[in-house]
Amino acid sequence: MYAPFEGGLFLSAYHDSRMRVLQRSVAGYQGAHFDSGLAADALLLMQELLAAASPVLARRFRELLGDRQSRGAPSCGRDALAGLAEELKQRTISTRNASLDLLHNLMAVQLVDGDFDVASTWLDRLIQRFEVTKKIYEFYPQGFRKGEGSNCSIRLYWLFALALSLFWARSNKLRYLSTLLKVCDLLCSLPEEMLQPEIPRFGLSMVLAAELVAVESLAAQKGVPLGSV
Amino acid sequence: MVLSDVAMIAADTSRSRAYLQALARNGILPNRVLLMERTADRIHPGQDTASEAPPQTVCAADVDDCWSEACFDPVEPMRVLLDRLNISYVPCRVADINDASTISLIRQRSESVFIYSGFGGALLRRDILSIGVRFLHVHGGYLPDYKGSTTNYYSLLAEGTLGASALFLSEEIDSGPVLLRRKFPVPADVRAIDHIFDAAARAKVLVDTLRAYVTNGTWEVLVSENNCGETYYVIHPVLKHIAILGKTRNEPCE
Repeated sequence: MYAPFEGGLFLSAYHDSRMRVLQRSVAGYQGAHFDSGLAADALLLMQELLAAASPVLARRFRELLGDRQSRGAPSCGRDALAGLAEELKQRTISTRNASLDLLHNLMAVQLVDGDFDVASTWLDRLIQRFEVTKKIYEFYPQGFRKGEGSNCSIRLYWLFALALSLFWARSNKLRYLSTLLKVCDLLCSLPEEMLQPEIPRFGLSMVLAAELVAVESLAAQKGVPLGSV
Repeated sequence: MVLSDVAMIAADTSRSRAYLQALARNGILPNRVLLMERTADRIHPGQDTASEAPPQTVCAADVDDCWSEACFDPVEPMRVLLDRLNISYVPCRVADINDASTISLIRQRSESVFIYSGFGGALLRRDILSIGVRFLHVHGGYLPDYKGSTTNYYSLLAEGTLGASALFLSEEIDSGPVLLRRKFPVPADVRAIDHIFDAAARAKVLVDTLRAYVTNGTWEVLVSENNCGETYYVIHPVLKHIAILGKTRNEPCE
């Protein structure tokens, strides 16, 4: 739980490890059709948010993604996203919540500039569950405490990472980055053949690129050398 | 001075040692200590037992006043310390603050306030919180901005400061009324935050809180509405390393 201090080499090892995953081929990644659209829309939003923060961040994000960026992936469509964003306002913890639907709602709110206060409250609930259990469950029954169903859906972890990366890009809050790092640790620990059916073509690259941009910029602010950067 | 209405729940940890040594140094002692002891395998850093705590790395003669309580011995066994300070204590049969036998021991006491310095990670539940005494805890972070865990690394990254806040415990984590809070500058050895400086910051705030109580004759609340703020979880090692290795400007004590 409390990580020992291992010096600068630890950071270099982290950076190199992430770069190796990032540089893997995206061939074979498929994911659900709707998630491909979400990822395409999220990519555009991420680039806008980073550019608003700093052109340096936006440039670095593009560098890290390279030619893994989506070309021609269809958007989800504004109406569909608006509907999903609106759904979030009706959610309560007094009923059972399906994590997939919730994560789609959270993504949609981001993409259509919906109610961020409501969205951050729900994201914080998911963060709390994940941080306490280190898992995301398929369902959270009334009260949003102990999860039910499978906790092995890679799709859910990826969507969670995507939501976290966008919330970080918008808010620059370290606690989102900390949880994002933990989720990416999980994703990067899995063999490719498990990830490929569950995550869209450039979906993993995008969350890893966002994470690396976040960590690199923080390290640079603090004067801490990081890997090969 | 012995505070007749204040007891302490202590564990065999470096934090409890920091507290007692700081209180003794400042001439304020609890009336009684309930001592929890258990095996080392469930200790968190900063809560190390005598056999696990690293050697003291910082104890400069001209240490910043902010860090006046950093010069403590993190390895002196609790029973030895309590005997040396002539504080009467009662060993708890179990090391669980929520256990019925522990609660019974507390109920038997006449003090109305208990300084809580139990094992890290334990949360006081409704049963013990409703027995009619107040538990004075010092959170390692500046409330209400930094609630939760390892918050000093987050504040170190965000602001270049550490913090500690004295509050009475309530059911909701880190949300009870705040009595006193302080910000601290970056310590001399950032690698020793877990084992030394987190405890030192808390001990400093504890001393100041008790001094205020002695001066005022009552517990004065600084922040009664403490249910806002953000909750932090155990910081990822990458961010922790950046916090330790990073260059931060030195802020004064607050």
